[in-house]
Amino acid sequence: MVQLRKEFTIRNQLGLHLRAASRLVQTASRFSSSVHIEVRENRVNGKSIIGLATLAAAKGTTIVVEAQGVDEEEAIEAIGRLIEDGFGED
Amino acid sequence: MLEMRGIPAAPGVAIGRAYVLNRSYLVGSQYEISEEEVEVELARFERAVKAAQRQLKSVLRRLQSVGAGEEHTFILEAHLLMLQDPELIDGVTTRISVQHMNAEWALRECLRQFKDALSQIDNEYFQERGNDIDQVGQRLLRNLIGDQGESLSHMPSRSIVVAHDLTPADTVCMLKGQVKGFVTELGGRTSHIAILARSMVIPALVGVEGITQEVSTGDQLIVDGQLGVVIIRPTEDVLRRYRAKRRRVQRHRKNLAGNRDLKAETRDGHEVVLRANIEKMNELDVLGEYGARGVGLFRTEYLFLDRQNLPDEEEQYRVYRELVERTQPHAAVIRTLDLGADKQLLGEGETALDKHLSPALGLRGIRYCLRHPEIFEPQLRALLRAACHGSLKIMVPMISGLEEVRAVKAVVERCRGQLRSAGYAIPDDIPLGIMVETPAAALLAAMLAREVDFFSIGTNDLAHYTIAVDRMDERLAYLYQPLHPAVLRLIREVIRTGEAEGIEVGLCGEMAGDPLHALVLLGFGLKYFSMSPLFIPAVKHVIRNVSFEEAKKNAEACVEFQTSSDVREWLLERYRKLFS
Repeated sequence: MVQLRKEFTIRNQLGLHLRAASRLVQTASRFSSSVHIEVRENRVNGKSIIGLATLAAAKGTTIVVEAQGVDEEEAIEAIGRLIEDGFGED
Repeated sequence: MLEMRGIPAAPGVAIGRAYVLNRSYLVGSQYEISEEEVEVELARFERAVKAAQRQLKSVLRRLQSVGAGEEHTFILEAHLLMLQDPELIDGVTTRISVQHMNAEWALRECLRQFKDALSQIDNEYFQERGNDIDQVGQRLLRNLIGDQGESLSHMPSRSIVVAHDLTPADTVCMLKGQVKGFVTELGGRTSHIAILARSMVIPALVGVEGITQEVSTGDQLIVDGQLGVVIIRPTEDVLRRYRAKRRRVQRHRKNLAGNRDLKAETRDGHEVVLRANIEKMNELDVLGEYGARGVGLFRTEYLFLDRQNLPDEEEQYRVYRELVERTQPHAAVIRTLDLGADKQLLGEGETALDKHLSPALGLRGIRYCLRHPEIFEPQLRALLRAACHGSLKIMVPMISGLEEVRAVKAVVERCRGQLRSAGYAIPDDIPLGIMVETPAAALLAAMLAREVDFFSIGTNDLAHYTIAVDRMDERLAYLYQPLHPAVLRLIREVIRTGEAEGIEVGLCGEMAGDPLHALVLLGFGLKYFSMSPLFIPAVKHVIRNVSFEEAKKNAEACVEFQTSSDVREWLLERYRKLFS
């Protein structure tokens, strides 16, 4: 089974700070697929807020979203949209 | 009566009865369980998690019902997410079923692993996350052990809360307006709880070590959030003075915005210039409101941090140009990149984990720039070009000697030459000045004054290097005193020397924004003060209410004292009327 991977760029001013990470986890948790987030060499479970808390992803950073499961496409799409919307922040 | 000091978290005066929150830090027992007991233990853990979730959801609902904004509730949402975090759940479950640890032990070990990863990173943001994990862990432990600990729900209203630490869940009571003020042992100026206090405008102090041992519930307290003082069981006299101060503070708040168009002039006609320290362009919007006459320090680091690619010459030019255009007709002093110590660039292939904290004495400030012309030159070229549009002054940080100044001037000349060849017309007389923040620079002020156009004294770092204390270490906070006699002497010398050599001397450290300290600086003859715009009205107010002659005499007297507390007390005596 090949997983799906896609790259996005962090757009919002504060980067992947706690609030943004919370939204990401909430979004990822809606899907049954497993989700992983990679920033440079670090790879964490996308449904783990504690895992995301250890990532330093500032504005401009490239972030890879990987999903595997029945709804992997929708998962990546939803998370990608969240990232590109700057997590809904100004 | 007992007086204790701490870090001011939110200004104002609160007078009331203490409510001491006694919540001990739970550790929980540690023992091995048998194979048969695993299921029971797993069930215990699951129940504790569910209970904790219910409790936090209830707090969240109450917060939302009193109209708390998202900035207050999101932290609770994050804590709720932690309670269902698969890494946490799996980590504990595995330790219980495979390693046969009891639930409390399994939880502690699991959390310790997370906290360890975060504590490696010497960065406030990550340390706050470690605290979040701690708070969630404590709530879980409480539910496992069955010790609910104390909460604020039984607190009589209009109390002043005294605690070792306060969690976001405690804030629900504060938002309902039941709390007059609070004092905690832990916490810094930027912790969630301090930010909350400022947004709710209730006086608060943090970092008051040992206060829970000195105060009992019911004791009368005065919290002075401006001076960073808490007075326990005050005498009638002190109480009276503080009631008056509280009235004055309230009246003051109404009046302050009103002095923005008035001159920063003493009673006997001596005028000074109050400028603003800023780092983001949107701060320019409020300069007029606070009456700032220009920008005394524009920190450029924020253009470079928190992004993957560096800002090029064009981007910087646009920013600097906007800055000088918007501060017209006043000056804008722009400081070149000052990185290292507490601000660092994330390089290629690095995570925050890889970054060591450069010691404050290392490759930072101007040394970093001289070593990285590929970063320094575009910045200088952008500054030189922007100087055509207004009164721009270039300032370089961390200078420790003449060689550095000459090296900088050589690079500036080189950039000027490049721009000329490319057809730009750059003014000849763009002022180039230095931050005086190392003891070396302060001692060589006379020589340096002949080679630069102005000084700006960086008292934060100057005090730090002179007293030899780490600003970030809370245990040493008591040593870091701007009124330290050694620091005062250096400051006075730099101001006098600059005056004698005919150059402009300014000061942009935190000292300038504190009215009491500002009076000393005024007395030393300082003409240009730069501070956070929020403090300008208060500083202008004290300047307008003193005579320069008296300020001079007082400043001279200060230098003769032996300790900073002597200086401080004497000054408060002299200026009591202005501050009481």
